[in-house]
Amino acid sequence: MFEPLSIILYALAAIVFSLFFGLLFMGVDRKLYARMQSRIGPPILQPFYDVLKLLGKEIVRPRGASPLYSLAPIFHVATAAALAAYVPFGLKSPLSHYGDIIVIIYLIALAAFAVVLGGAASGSPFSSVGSQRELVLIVSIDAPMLVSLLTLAWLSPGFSVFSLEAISKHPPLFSENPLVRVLGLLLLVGVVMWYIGDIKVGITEVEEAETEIAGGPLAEYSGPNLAMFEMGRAIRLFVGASLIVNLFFPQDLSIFLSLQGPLLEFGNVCFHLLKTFLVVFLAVTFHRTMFGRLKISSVASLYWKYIIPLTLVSSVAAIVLRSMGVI
Amino acid sequence: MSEEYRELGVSIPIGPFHPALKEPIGFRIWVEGEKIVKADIRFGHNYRGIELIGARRNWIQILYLAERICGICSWSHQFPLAQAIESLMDVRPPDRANYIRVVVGELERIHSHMLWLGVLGHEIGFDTLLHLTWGVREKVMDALELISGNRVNYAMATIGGVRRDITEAKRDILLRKLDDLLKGVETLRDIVLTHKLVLLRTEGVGRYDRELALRLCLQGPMARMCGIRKDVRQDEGVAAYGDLGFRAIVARDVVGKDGCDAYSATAVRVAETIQSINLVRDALMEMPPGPISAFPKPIVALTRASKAEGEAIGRYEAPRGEVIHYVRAAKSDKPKRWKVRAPSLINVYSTKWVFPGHQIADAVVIAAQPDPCIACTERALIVDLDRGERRVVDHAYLTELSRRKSKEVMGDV
Repeated sequence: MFEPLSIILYALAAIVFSLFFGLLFMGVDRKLYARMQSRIGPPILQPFYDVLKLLGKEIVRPRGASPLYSLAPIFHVATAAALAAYVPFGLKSPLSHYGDIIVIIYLIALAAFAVVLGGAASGSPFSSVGSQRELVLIVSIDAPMLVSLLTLAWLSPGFSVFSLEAISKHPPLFSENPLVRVLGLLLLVGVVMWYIGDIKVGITEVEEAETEIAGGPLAEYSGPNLAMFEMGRAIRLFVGASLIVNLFFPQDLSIFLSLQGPLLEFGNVCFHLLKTFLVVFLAVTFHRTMFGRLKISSVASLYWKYIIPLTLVSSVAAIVLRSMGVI
Repeated sequence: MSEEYRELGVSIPIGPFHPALKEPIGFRIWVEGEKIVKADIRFGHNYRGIELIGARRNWIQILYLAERICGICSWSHQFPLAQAIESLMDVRPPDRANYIRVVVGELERIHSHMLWLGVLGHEIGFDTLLHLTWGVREKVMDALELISGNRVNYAMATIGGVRRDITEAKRDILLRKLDDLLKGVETLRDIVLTHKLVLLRTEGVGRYDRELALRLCLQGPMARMCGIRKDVRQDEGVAAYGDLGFRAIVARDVVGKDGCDAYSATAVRVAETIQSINLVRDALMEMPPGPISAFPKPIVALTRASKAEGEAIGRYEAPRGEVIHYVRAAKSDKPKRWKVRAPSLINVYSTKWVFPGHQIADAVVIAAQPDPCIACTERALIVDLDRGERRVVDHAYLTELSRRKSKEVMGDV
């Protein structure tokens, strides 16, 4: 299992798995979104058709675009793919021995930066405005994520390792200590808000804002380049939700059923997919049906006035309570 | 673009073709970061020469051309034109026709305001609002189809009255549909006027003040959102509005204050929709019996109109504001001159004063606030990028082009 080749193959499988379910969830999301608006909606496989069709189209480079224009999509999809190999999906993640939470945080920020780069390199006013907005978003959403993740690591009794598995072993929401459960709930809010900001739907859809800036950073992208951004987004949609499940609801199927061997592993993957889908449904589909898009200034003030203080307070509380020995 | 503009820095084109716009119009905004510092508006992307075409049609045919000026408020152009021709001939339509005119006009207002509300939802990224509103709107479209057989171009007005009667059976179905509609619109009102996100995106956005509104002669809901109780239906009592005791709604009647912003505009339009439903119901209930036209046949009207001389105007409150049709006749079956003044011309230009100081995200709300309907333009600009040329297409050039085309066509014959 630890030979390089098998790790590479396993990582590739994990990437394909995340991409497939990312696109599938996107399709289901669009369908449910449409049904909630009393529309029929696109076929569930529409995102697959979109990506396949885009991949077969010619590449158009706008006049005045810098060389980064062609590199940014590759950068984006590669980062997203790496992310997919780091986050467990019901099974152990392929690269779990090669990095911890810090790597995941970096990869998440990198993927967003690739979008900023691509937008800034396309030389269109819509894209540059979109890139600026994306930067504001990154600054706003990454702080609560960082604080929440570190606090989660502190809350777990092991404390020494910043590894996802260590946190997964002691989910705060299911702790015996009620104080930890409360803290876990606050951190869940922080991480879910990060997720909403990271995939940019509903209130945080400011960066693409079709009716305002015509697609923002992606305004000039078409064909295979756009397909790469779409695939990256699908992976991030899946991996982000998957991360939330891993951090807060990591229970496997063995609490309900007494399965063994490959059957248990298969069951765990299915169970994980179900939980991930629920997160996607609540944080993406339901949320974007209920709300429209905020202004970028309102988004920034929402995060800096409410979400970041919330996570900071829970973080400080965690430190104080821990030093007092209460938790 | 002049040098003065170039120094202002980054400019963002919203239009002539942009996802936020449904018709070609060019807004250009200059920004510093997210803040708008200057705005400019350009018309002229969709010139159709409809007034000239109209001058070649006879008095009856022109009515159905007028309907096609706008894709939404077809009645609002057909009716004032019919009014203008009637005033030329000094004819009064029978009472029943006046009531039917109110019914059609108000149903059109409902569908236009519902459409606008959906567009607003779409502009602020709230697509659920769009789909819900347009779902409700379908009921009005059904009602219009029931009356006239068509959803948009109803062809209901004629000189001296209307073309189709609303029978007892149709009236009962209509009344039932109106109850349904009222329920839908009231639900929408409760959602829209209290939804936190709609408030965040519309309150204080596109803020005029009363003086600016008066100075720029804002029309329709744009004036009424600033507390100016101005409405042709109320001031002139056209058709049967005088009998029905109509009084225009201003923002303070709905939300307690004249906000002069996009939120007030929304409130006024939603309240007007409900008022229109009640007007339609009243008109249907109180409709007197009798003929629906002053003339037995259109040909009689045409013969009479061909003897008319002089000039006349017809006015009507379209969903977007006052529409004025001017006609001049010289004892011919065609008008000598036909001129249309649509309210969007005024309302859209007024946004230029409101853009600066807002954010880019507000720009689409401001652009949508007057419910722009691009009906009147004058010229086209051709830009040849390869040769770096800019050339204004003027009348002489178009004439030359059409002569060339005529010769080509004649050659085939």
